[in-house]
Amino acid sequence: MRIRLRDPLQELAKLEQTVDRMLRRDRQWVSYGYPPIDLMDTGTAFMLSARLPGVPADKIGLSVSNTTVTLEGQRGPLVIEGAKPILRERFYGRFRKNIDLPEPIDEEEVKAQYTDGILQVTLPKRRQLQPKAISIQ
Amino acid sequence: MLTFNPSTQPARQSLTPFVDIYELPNYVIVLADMPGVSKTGVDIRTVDNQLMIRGQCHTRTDGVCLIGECAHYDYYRAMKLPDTVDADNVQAEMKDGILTLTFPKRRPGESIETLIFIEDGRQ
Repeated sequence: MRIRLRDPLQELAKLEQTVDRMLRRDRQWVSYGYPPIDLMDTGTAFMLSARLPGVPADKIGLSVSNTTVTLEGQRGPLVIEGAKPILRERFYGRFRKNIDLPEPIDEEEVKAQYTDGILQVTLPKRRQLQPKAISIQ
Repeated sequence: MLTFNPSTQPARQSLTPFVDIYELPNYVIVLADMPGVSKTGVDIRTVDNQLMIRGQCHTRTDGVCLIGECAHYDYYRAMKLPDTVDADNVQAEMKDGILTLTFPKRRPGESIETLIFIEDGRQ
């Protein structure tokens, strides 16, 4: 009986190829976790604040529909001529985040403001239709 | 090794801001993401070649928190700067939640000279 010994390094090479394929640079990479957000319920409205430092307001796409808010856009990249990076922790790239709300909102009344790198969105809740009592003549 | 006085560190829970450092021929640029911090809410200190950044977040909303990924914590970060940096002559700018610090580099050969006197032990 012949025993064939498999080269363990060959297995590692295969794994490396798989990882390379996963991290292919030419693919359009979109981050679904960015930006970090806070969502507060004030009773009459939802207040959404997203931390988007350095993203110009016109580069942020905000869309609302019934119970979903979508934030998308692109940050950077920062280009400094001839600069050598020593440390890079900040996020650069495309982002897209969907936020589900527990109640429907009034799309017409949504207001957004950008100050000091925070996007603050006011999402007023849709007024519930109250049954109207009709008196009989 | 950081030698900052612990009393200067914030007592409240704080976030560590994400930082980029870039080196140019004559400068070192430090960028820190500190959204929610205005120009007046930043505290920058340098001790030798160590940098301490602190920022106070001014936005606060009342209500029931449904999602709290960033909360309204303050920022705090301390780090060591490259040895080539002149930490005393820093230019700082705060815009759209990004703190930009520009440190000039010391010219090669320029070193800090300190004269040390030996006290006379005689009475």
